[in-house]
This record gives sequence, structure tokens and C-alpha cells, in this order.
Amino acid sequence: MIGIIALVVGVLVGLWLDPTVPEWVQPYLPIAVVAALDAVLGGLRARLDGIFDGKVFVVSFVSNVVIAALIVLLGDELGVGAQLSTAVVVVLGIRIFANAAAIRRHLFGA
Amino acid sequence: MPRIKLATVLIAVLCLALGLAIATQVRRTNSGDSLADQRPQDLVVLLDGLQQREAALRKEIAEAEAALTRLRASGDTSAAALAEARRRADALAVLAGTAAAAGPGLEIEVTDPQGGVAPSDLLDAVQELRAAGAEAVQVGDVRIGVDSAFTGSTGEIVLDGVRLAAPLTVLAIGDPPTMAAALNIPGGVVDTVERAGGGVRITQRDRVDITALRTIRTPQYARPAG
Amino acid sequence: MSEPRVPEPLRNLEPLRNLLPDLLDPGYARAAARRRSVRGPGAPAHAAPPPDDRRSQRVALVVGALLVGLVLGIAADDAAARAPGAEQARRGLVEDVRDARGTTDELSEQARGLAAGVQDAQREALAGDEVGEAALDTLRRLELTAGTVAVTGPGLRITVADGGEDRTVLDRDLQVLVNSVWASGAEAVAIGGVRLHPTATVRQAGGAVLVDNRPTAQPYVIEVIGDPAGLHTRLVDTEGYGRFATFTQVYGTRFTVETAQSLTLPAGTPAEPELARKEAGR
Repeated sequence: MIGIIALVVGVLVGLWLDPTVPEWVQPYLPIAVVAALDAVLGGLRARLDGIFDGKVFVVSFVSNVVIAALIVLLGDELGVGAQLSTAVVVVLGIRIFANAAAIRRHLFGA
Repeated sequence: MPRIKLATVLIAVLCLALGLAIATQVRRTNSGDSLADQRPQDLVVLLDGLQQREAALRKEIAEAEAALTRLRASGDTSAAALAEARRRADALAVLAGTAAAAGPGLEIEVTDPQGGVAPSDLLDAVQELRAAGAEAVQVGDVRIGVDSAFTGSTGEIVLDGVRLAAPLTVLAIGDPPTMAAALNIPGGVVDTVERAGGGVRITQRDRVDITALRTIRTPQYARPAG
Repeated sequence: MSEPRVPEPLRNLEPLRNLLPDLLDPGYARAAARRRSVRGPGAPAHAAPPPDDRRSQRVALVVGALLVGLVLGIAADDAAARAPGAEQARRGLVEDVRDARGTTDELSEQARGLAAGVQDAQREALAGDEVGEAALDTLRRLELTAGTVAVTGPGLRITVADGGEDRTVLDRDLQVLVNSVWASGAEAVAIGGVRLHPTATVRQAGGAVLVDNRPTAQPYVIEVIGDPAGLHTRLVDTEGYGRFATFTQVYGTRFTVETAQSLTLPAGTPAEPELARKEAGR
């Protein structure tokens, strides 16, 4: 439906724009990607649970990215940036798997 | 009953696959191939060398196959064989330095007013030319062969027993731009000679005539094997 | 249907499951609860929300999906644009080198077989004919001079290897040593089992050396056919020998020269000249 279309359009635009990502953004790309995946899967699961809300989708994605970036930024200042980045990715990753499992139960009942 | 069997089989297969994967991965990590330790730039040189060799081998195979076809073609076999033998002899003669040769290449003038050029510098030059694909080289009046040797000392270079006098002309047959580039690399032959107070002038030519010949010495100790 | 059916045995793991909270963003549950309270407790949870609300929902969804897509797209593009991590590139190179080695080994075998075939065919066709025999004879002498035939005889075996951790023996050093060997009267030379011929090179590639474009690892074994005693005597006076003698003292490089009664060196495989053509001499 329209969400998937918008998602695909976003991906294609991102690829087509071919922006040169500045050096300082580089370390935050992985967490942005993981937050994006988390938002997508969370949204899908909410949809299947019947409680999807568009505003929550946007807010949760943006806030996750911002908060994760702030955590990593703080970590960089303290010298543990790489470790915190890993921690963020791990936590979001767990969420991704949990939501994926829930989706799987919805779709396959297994 | 059948359901349990299927599940058991699946589990067994998956465990087997996992075991194989672990074993393979461990073996790959431990494999003592020194290649894994090489730096990327060294791997590039290795790869380049191997690719050159591959190209040379392919050419060789093509030539040998063509020769075989010529030799085995029905008709006047001995004439074909003779032509083939002579063709191969000519090629080897050019390589060995027993025949005059001509072709595109470089004319290199080396001057050494301060007598600072060493035998190893000229040795270097010949090696660089060879690496750049030179097929025949002449230094001064001496044809370079597989057993050519530079002796003497700085400013008094001797090649195969012949004293070389500066200014010196080096002739090389091969691809002109490639050979010129090889001599001009930073820290290469041109740099070294110029730092020793000498000069190098490279001219690319469509035709270079190499007329110096090597005298063939019949080996005293080396005999064809088998 | 958000409550999964937990099989009997797994219910014992309840405490474990409580450690991991239900990981869906709590915002969804709250939004759903809010909607339910707005619509009244009697309305079904999946009832269509009012039109205004639906439109702003749609907008939010589209904006969100676009943002997510943009992030994924940019990251993917960036990952593709950047050079792959050094490790990945290196691993790719290692694979390439392995493949190239395999290919050259195969081709080398093939070439050897074909060369033998050509030689046999030649001999067959030319033997018994005076002109043919003469041509064959010339060919054989040239092969010997150019190093394209395997030879055997007495001589020297020189072994060179780095003493410590650092790579000190370079292609340049080997070239100087080989130059000295030729100057001492060598008749045939091979490094690491690779015969030197008129267009063979000795080039550096990290810890290994390419002899005639063939990777050769340490210790470098230089086999020389010639008069063993004479070779050795003359070699000791040469620049190459002096250089390596110094290396032994300064860097602990391994450098041994021993007499060999019988060495067999393989045939060299130079590429036939492509640009140089034989010219009739003056």
C-alpha cells in the first residue's frame, strides 16, 4: 500500500541523489540504518497487531535516530563511541529480531 | 509418526550442515597460505606478475598450437617443419642476441660528465627495460644477453668485458611508452643517473636497429638434460 | 492476536521471557488506547478512524516511510560508493591471486605438453633430410644459448634468506648477486627452480620475489651451472658476494654457497618477440 510505495520511493531517491556523505556523518550511518530497519519492522508488526499509527511511526523513527546519535556522540566525547555505537546497534537489533518474530507468528502462526 | 521422522531428519541435516560449516571455516582461518599475510600492494604486484605470465603462456600455447597445425597439415610436411624450425630459430636468435633485430623502441642517451654512474645503475636500467617488455637491448656496442654482466666501478663501467665509454647510447626494442615510463618512475633510472650528475635523454622511435651481436659460447659444463 | 501460543515445555522459561519486554514501541499501544477511549469502549479496535485523523495518519505514514527509505537509500549508496573496506578488497585480491596461480599452473602444464609435441613433430618431419638436420642443429644450439632447454651439470647452490623479522633482501640485491654470478662465468642460472632466460626479470612483491613473473618465496635458492671451483673463486671477488657478506654481518642474513655435483635446471620459457624482427646482418 502507500507506505510501501513511499518506502521504495525513498530508497530510490536516496540512491539516485548519490550524495557525498561527509566524513563526520559516517559513524552514525550504521545506527541510522538500524533505527530505520527497526522502525519499518515495528510499523509492520503494529499494522499486523492492528494498532498502527502513522504519527507514532514517524516520531519513533526520528527520535530513535536522534537519541541514538546523541548517545554515540556523547560516547565519542568520553572515548567509548565505538562501544556505545555497538550497544545501540545490538539493542535495536534485538528489537528488530523480536518484531520480526512477532510478524512471523502473525503470518505463519509458527 | 511420519511427522516426527521428518522433523528429526531435518534437524539431523541442519546439524550436519552446521558441523561442516564450522569445520570449513576453522580450516580456512587456519590455512597457512602465506597469501593471507601479504599486504594489498604486494598482492597487486603478485597479481600483475601472474597475469603477465598468464598472457605469455597463452601466447606460447597459441604459437605451439599453430606450429603443430602447420607441422601436421597434410601435404608437404617437411617444408612446413623446416619453415617452422627456421621461424623459431629466428625468434630465439633475436632473444639470445645472435641475430640483428629491428622494431619500435627507445634510443637512450646516457651522459656521465662527473663519472658518477655505477655498474649497478646500468644493471638497473636493463632490468627495468626487461620488466617493461624490452625484447632486445644493446648498451653501447654490446648486445645484452641472458649472461650479460656489468662489472667495473663507478665511472668505469665494464659490460661483458668491454669498457663502456660515456656518452653511451642504449637501444631497446619494445613498446616505447611502456619502457619510457619504466625508466622515468620516481627513484628510477633517470632519477638515479641525474642525481649522480649524469643525464638521460630518451627518444621514442618507430624503428630502432640493434646490430651488435653476441658471440655464442659453447657451454663447457651445462649439457642438455634428458 | 498479539499473545503467542506458548507451548507447554517453554512455559517454564516464563521468567526469562519477562527479562525481555515486549519490544514493540510503546507508542503504538498508547495511540491505540487513546483511539479506543476517543471512540468509546464499545467500538471495535479496528474501526476506521474519522477522516481528518485518517488523512493526517496517511501523511505521517508517507513522510515516515520516505524518511526511512531515504536513510536506507543513502546508506546503501554510500556503502557502494566508498571503496570496500580494506579487508574486503584484500580478500578479493587474495582470491584473485589464488585463481591466477591456478590458471598459470594449468597453462604452464599445457604449454609444456604442447612444446614437447611440437619438438617431436619437428624431429619426425626433418630427420633424415640434410637441410632439415642442419636446421634442427641450428635450432638446438640456439635453444641452448637462449636457455629454452633443460640443462644439467655441476656448479654452485647459493641460498639466501632473511635472518630476522625484517625484509632486507630485495629484488635489487638478488639482481646484483645474479649479475655477479654471470660475471663469474656461469653457464645457466635458476632462482627458486625458475630458469633465467633473456627476458626473465626478478621483481619484488612484498615478502616474495617474482622470478620470470613466478612467485618465489624465501629461502631463495640460486642454482648455477658452471665450473664449481672457478665459479666460487671468481664469485668471492664480486660486488654481489661482498654485498651479501655484509648483509650477513649487519642483518644476520643467511647466505651460503655450496658446491653441487649435479644440478638440473628446467627450460626457460621466454615469450617470442612480437615487436623485434630479425634483420639480415650487415
